[in-house]
Amino acid sequence: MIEATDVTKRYGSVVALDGVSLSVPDGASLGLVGTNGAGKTTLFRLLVGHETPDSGTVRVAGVDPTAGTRVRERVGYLPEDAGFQPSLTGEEVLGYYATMRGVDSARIDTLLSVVGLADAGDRPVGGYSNGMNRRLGLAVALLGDPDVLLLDEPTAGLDPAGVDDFNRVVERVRDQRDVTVVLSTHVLSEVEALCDRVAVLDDGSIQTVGSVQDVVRDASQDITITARYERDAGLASATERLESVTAVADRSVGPSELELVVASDDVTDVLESVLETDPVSVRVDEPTLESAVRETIAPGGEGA
Amino acid sequence: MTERTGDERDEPAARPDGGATAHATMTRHESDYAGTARQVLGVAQREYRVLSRARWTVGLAVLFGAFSLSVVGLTGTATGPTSVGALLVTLAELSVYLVPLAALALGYGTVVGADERGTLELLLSVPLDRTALLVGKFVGRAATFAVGTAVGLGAGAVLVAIRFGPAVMPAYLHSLLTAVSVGVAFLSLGVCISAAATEKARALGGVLLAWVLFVLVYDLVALGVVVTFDPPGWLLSLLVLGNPADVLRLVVLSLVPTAGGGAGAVLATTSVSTGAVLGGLALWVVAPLVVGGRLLGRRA
Repeated sequence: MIEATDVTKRYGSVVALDGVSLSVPDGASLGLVGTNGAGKTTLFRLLVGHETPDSGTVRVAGVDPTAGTRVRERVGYLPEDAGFQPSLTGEEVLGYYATMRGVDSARIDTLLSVVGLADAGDRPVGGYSNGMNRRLGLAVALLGDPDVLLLDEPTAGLDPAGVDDFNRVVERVRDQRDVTVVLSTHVLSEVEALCDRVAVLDDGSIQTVGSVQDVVRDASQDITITARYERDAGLASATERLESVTAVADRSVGPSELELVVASDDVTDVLESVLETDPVSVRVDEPTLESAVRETIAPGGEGA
Repeated sequence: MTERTGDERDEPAARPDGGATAHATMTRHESDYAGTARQVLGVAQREYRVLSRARWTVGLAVLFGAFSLSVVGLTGTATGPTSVGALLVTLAELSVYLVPLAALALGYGTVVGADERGTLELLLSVPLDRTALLVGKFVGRAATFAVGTAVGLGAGAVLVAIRFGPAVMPAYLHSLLTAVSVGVAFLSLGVCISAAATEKARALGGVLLAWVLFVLVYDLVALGVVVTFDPPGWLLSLLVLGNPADVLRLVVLSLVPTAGGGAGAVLATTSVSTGAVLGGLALWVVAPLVVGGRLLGRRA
């Protein structure tokens, strides 16, 4: 269980976190999303005990992270900028951290296999790709068999294949272990794939938190209908006919396309009206986590 | 949500990735001291290995080997020292410049370098006390410095034994050991500066400033104090122990009484007991580490 209650953290005049309260039950996986500078990394650093809150309380697995090193026995943390000595091999890196944690070195081979580095364990880390480095970092975080896994933008800077590889490992670990995962990312598809809960952090405050479905539903009711017409005349006629449909919240006309934004309650009525204008094709876009996060961070769609 | 009791934690269920094995094999009952000692040793070993692969040990051995062989080789020539005594004093006087510089260069990246590389934050995410981390890093670097310097200056010892006979060896080895000890004191200072710096470039500036102050400026100030105030013996001893570089000079001058001018002449008349020298050097090693540990503890 992770509990943050009314946590505030300032750096000089900059308020990094402003009254943040958050609860993550055991075994849950939370996606932490927000713009750069929203306070995600500060929150991670508070959870692992690298920072002390100016006010409020933080508890991780029932332990105050700033009280000694006890919390770090229960937490695996992969910082955003984690690095390794390039001259050491993957096995040596894990061996080093195994010594620090008092973990049997026999676990190293197992973990290298878990993160897909079994064949590269005897190679110097300096020759690893970014993706391999991040997976090695994940192995380091998993060494102590943690109850809580904190991953701070673990796939930042990776190519799509690297992202997929990394996420597959996280997915496997999450499914095989009774581990609480907190993952910060800008890639919202990662949150949808790996997390059952999402928290949107903006300007140091939690804007919304809940299941992915709830956040999407609560943040954005709007659905976009895009109708495509064969001829300009058809588009002009449809535009004129649909002007009288008052349920349309927003509309835009592009080359041979008409885009209408409507509330979810009105979508059936508007869709019927659109179909009466003989379009070549019609596409209905449901709200996504991405649109919900944009809506949450910048209500009205401005500035996100 | 799954709640686990303390009893369940002691006997964790088997996990597909071997997690239970890790828990079961953790040395749960080892004392805090033993655990901390294991971590310090682990950090030190890793530091030594990394520095060795970065050729620090070999580099130091080559540097001090070339230095000592050159000085010893020139003994008795028109441009070199004229006797064994002069040889040791020459080695000490030149070591006063070289040893602190090499030690500070080895120390300045200890903390801030790890921070910039991203290894520090990952390392601090394990249950490792920050002071233990700093001590481990220092011990690993001190071992690197000691091995490299001893091998390099030891090469000169071979030539000294050939040219002057084995009777000279104790004095040479004494000055070698003192040089290594003084270097370790400067290394500790470099580690402290590294813990205080926010950027590696600033740390480099800090150690260069320290080198200028201790190696070039300090003696001038000390000499000014001596000339102006004619201080009592205890204050003179304190002035000597206030600079590890002067400790090296003092030890060598005590081995080989040689007339000289300037600060050397003052040092030659200073009487500091062996215990005070050892205590002073020990303080120079411990104090910067204590300060560095506190700085690392406050480092965000």
